[in-house]
Amino acid sequence: MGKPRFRAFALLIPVALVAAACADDDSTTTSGGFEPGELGAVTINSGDPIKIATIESISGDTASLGEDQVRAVRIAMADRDGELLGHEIELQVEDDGCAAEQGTTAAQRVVSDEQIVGVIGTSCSGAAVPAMEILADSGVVMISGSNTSPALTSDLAGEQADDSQPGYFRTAHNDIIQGTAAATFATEELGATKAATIHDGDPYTEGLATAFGRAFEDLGGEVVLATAISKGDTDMRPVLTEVVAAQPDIVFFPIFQPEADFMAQQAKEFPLLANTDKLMGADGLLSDTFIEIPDTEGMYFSGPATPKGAAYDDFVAKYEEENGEAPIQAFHAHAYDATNMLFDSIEKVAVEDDDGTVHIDRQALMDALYAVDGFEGITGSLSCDEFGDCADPAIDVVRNTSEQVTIEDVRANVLFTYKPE
Amino acid sequence: MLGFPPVRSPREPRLEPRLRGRLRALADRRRARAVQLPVVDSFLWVVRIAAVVLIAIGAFNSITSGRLDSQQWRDLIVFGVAQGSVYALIALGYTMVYGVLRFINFAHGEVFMIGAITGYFVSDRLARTALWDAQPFVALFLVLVCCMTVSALVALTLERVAYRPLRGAPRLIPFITAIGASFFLQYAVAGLFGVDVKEYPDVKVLNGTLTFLGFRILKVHLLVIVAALVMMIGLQVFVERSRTGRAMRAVAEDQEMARLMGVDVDRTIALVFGIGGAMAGAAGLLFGLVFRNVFFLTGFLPGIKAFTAAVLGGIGNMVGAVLGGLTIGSVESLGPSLVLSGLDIPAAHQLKDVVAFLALVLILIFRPTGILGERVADERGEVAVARRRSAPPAAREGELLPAREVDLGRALRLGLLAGLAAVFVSAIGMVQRFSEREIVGEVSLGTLLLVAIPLVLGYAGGRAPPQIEGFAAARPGRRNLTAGLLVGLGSGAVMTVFVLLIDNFDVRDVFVNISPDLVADENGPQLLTFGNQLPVGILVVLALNLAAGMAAGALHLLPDRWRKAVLAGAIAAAGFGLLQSLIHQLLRGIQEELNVLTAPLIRFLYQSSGALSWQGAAAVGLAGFGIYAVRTRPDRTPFQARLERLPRRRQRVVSLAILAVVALVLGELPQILGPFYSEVLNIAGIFLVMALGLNIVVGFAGMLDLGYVAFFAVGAYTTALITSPTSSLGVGWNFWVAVPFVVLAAAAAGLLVGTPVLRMRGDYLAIVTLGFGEIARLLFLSDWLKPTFGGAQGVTRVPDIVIGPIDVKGPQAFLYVLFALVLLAAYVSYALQDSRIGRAWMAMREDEAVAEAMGVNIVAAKLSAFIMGAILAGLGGALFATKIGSVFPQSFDVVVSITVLVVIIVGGMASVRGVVLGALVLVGLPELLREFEEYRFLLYGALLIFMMLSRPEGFIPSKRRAQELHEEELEQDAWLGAGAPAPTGSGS
Repeated sequence: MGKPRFRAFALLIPVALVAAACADDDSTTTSGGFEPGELGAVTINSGDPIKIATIESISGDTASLGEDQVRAVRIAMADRDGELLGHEIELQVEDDGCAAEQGTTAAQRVVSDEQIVGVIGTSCSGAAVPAMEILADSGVVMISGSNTSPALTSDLAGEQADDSQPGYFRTAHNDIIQGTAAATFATEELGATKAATIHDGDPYTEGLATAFGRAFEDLGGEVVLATAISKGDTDMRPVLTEVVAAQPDIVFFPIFQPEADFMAQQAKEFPLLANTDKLMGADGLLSDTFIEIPDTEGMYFSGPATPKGAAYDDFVAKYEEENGEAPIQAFHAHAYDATNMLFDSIEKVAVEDDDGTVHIDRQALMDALYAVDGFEGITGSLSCDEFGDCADPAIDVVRNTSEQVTIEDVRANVLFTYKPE
Repeated sequence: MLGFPPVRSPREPRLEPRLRGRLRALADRRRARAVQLPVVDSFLWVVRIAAVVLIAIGAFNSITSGRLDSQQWRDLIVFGVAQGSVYALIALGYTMVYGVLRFINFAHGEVFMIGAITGYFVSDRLARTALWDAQPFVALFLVLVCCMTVSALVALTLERVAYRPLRGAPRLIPFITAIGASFFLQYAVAGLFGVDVKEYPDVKVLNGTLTFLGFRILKVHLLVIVAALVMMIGLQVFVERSRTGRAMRAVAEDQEMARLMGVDVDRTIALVFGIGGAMAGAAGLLFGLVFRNVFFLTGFLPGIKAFTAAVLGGIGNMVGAVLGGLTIGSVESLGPSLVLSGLDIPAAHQLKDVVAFLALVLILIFRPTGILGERVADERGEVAVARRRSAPPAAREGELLPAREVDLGRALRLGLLAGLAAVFVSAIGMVQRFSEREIVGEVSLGTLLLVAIPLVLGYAGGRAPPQIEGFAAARPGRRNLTAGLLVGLGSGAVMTVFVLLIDNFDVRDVFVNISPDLVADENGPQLLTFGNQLPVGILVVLALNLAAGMAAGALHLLPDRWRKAVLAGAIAAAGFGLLQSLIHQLLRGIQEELNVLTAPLIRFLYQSSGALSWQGAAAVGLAGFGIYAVRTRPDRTPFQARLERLPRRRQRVVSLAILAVVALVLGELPQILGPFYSEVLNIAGIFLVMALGLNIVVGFAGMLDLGYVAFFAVGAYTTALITSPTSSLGVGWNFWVAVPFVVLAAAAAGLLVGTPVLRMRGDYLAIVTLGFGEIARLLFLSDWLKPTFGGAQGVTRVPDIVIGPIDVKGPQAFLYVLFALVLLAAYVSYALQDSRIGRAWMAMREDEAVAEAMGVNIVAAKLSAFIMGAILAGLGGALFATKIGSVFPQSFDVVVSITVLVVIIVGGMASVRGVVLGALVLVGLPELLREFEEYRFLLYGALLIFMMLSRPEGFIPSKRRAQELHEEELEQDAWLGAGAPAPTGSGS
């Protein structure tokens, strides 16, 4: 009774061995005259779609940051009627959860599909670091619309950063620029000489607070207190007591809600901070739910300049029609430009066979992106440097006063615009 | 005398009492004779002295620096006392419950949060009326009443549903249930009312400050402080003076004796929960008034702090709770400015929780039972509490009592529960989210969910109660069917009411996820009525529910084997539907790697949309049914027996062949799975290594560790520092060089955490280890240690593992390394289980004092468990660091500790195979089912509660624990406990 079964085992072994031996042989299927470069190439047969992916944060606390950008990518696709080089564009949406672990998983999903040409993402710099390591190994390019950490590109003075990888690009500004913008505004427009910074332990807020501090000291000011809170804190009074004791002229706290709500509300109880003209936040707080808190009246905010012009108005109209609401975060325009940059570069390097088959060489695509110069997007004129910073960085400092009701009003109340040389 | 009287164990000890007493005495003599822990004690003294010196230096520097003026110091004291009063209010509830039941209601923080949310909804509505400004105190009183009522109701429900059935079970079990309830309530509130922050309206009378004795104090702060004092005194008087209070104390002292004396124990305990809940509700409102913003996680941190406060003051002690709250609040507020800034530590307020938890550790080292002392000395072992050896009910020799029949009343109650569950999953948006994926044919996961609820509960309702010793077996019959039908009726009726309700009223203002797609939108998908217009839709809902309930009940008419075969078929079909993409990849991988043609099979099973086709579902279901039926045929000899019948040589050949096949399958697995699914296995595998480590600490040695993530973080950071060329060390050595350092660092961390907690047990141990976990994360994150650990920016550029010439790059290669580590960890677990030290651990788990008397070296046993567990976690951390390639402090929060704990408990504590299964199901599966991602913690919570209520020993229990927690035995105990002396009364 047992015998046939054992025989089956015995049969299985050689089969499996043969299979294992065969598993590794690599067959390259090239047709026509196309020769792939060293990073390989994507071949899209006639009738098959061109695949791209997004790795954005679409769950958890930062879901709106990613959702906003995924919508922008879809609009960019719709603008081309969902087609590129006669092939349908297919979008694969992955979640980075704004965390390193999920960034890794998402990138693995992307590279496990060899047909994916390029990626728009990630939402958060912390997810981009591990994701880009995986993508770079496979030669996949990624363009982010909202990463701002200097660690991903360079210090803007020609020094390559630790986590810079080939094939990484971004259309968002480098933190160093926003830090400099906010510090310049504080010293030049407000005449501040002493600053306090508060972050919440998030890599983004910590990086921005540090960048602000450096720029402020470069401009001749003094950082009298660089402190931090923890996410989940509610009682800000003790830390505000320390802030008040240091007698700063400006308090820069680029943190998020709900901690920032507590900060703004409880600051009212301290005479030095009561009229709020010493408080400054950043783009993370430029949302309706924050500015409608009465205690935030008088606060300043730094953030990427709201794009202007007919092209942007056109984009917003499409966004509203498609999603039933106005853009929910600050980086949709950047993601839209990123997508168009990717599409344009694909069109530039693609090799078409007579039967409609398209070859996209990964190295050529990467080179084409590094060569982007003067790309006219809705966020301005974009040119990529050798480390992947492509933004046309304009930073606005805006103010919430009693006259502004909605976030659009606040964004339009521009006091100062910073553009690096 | 304040507080509750000493509590005696309601259960008789397992050992003969006299023997136990003698062993105890022996243990005491041993303690007295030798100075027990000379090394440990001197270490602890060094810690104490160092702490005092550092505090003194820091305080001196801060005060003399003149950075803050005296008014600001006074302000800080007031802030601390006010914050501490909030903690104290919550801590009172913890302490009340603990005093009576000796059980930490971990979900109390969520009861508090629900009070705060209720306060928001009521005050937000009231603020639109004239009453709010005209009669603010009347309005606030109304809000207060609502908050207290709702919170008390939630607490009572919790007690009835989750805790009462577990009374008398080992103490770890209700504690785990409470952790589950905590997650469940958080994410239920998030699902029902949305995740956004809700802002309280302004109360004008409470704005502004008062000054007395040179202290400036906000009016709301004064309100909170007064409320805390009033409640403490009120409760104290109530417990000491009132008749009910006396009953509470009696129950606390001895439940069975109290019952004999005519105290209604259930009612008294419910009352304790009710009062505790009402106080939490009041605390929630006060929190809302002070901080203005509340959301679904509002209860978590304050809950943990209040838990800490209760432990700090001496749990079970009311005055202690308030004192503990005030201590924690003041330490948080003053500590960073007074001590840390004085020691030149930057960004001191980032470390306020470190200060709070360190204060807890220091105070507990000085006084292991809190400031004021617990009312009792904890003498019992944690995991295993002696269970009553129950005698079979009084029946004459050879005679059986009449069978216990299906309880129809219970079936109806289950039906209502099923209806409520269906309403709940609809109201939190789950049905809508799930309806985006098709599972079988055109049927979506959402539809399947709605039908599955009456099916599952109908199955449960139609089942006869478990057979217990001395009773005849119940015969299947009409009653099973009727019970199933009743469940369907109940759930159908509740759903109908819900459908009519949301069709006619718009409740989205409060319940954000009840979308028009469910019913109201006539052109929409009408998910709840399965796409039908209303009058007809109701009939469809009712009919489907009835049919599902009846079908499930009818299953019980089948003989056992066929019933289980049908279940196997259904589960197989559901599994193939849910895991469509995994099975797709598996089949494709087999074709590509093994050259076995599977493409036609894929086309047969799945439609182009990815859903299982109907013929596929039928085939898979039939296959499941058939395989189960064949495997369980009565004349079948088990494989093992057949193997043993073979001659020796053949046996060896067969074993080798099996081993070869297993090795081959494992060898090919990463290739077949492809990179993504290998990655999923990697994630599950890292958790598995950690779970095997925690299993040593919790499962084998019985010490509840809630801060296990600390060792994981130590391993990850050690690896990153040594191997990354850009870390602060900057040496960039090979991974293998880092491994010994990881082991050393983790062992050192285990020793560091293990030593101070040597004398702590149970709840003290849990909260202190939780504190250590948070301390580790905050230190890695801090600006202070940023030059070493990289602060918020972490450490990046951790290189891949290199084995000789092979670079372990990518998830598939990584999986092989992980296999090796998992095998090592499993081997260590098995080896330890039966070793001398393993036996010592288990003896210690059963009863520490007795183990000590028998010659077990408790210090060595405890420390070695901590160190072994820490090393495995550290190795897991090392692999995690190279896998991700970067280490960020955000990866190491308390949720990791809880997840690992859930894995071992759900899998089967102390059982290695159970832990493996737990890791695959709880960590791997959610990665595959992305739809579940949003509801991950909700499902964790529900699963924990469900497991503890129905199968506390886990999926695959260890034999020993299963003996401790057998279902029939529990049932028998319950039957005896209910005091049913007349056996004939139970059949009706």
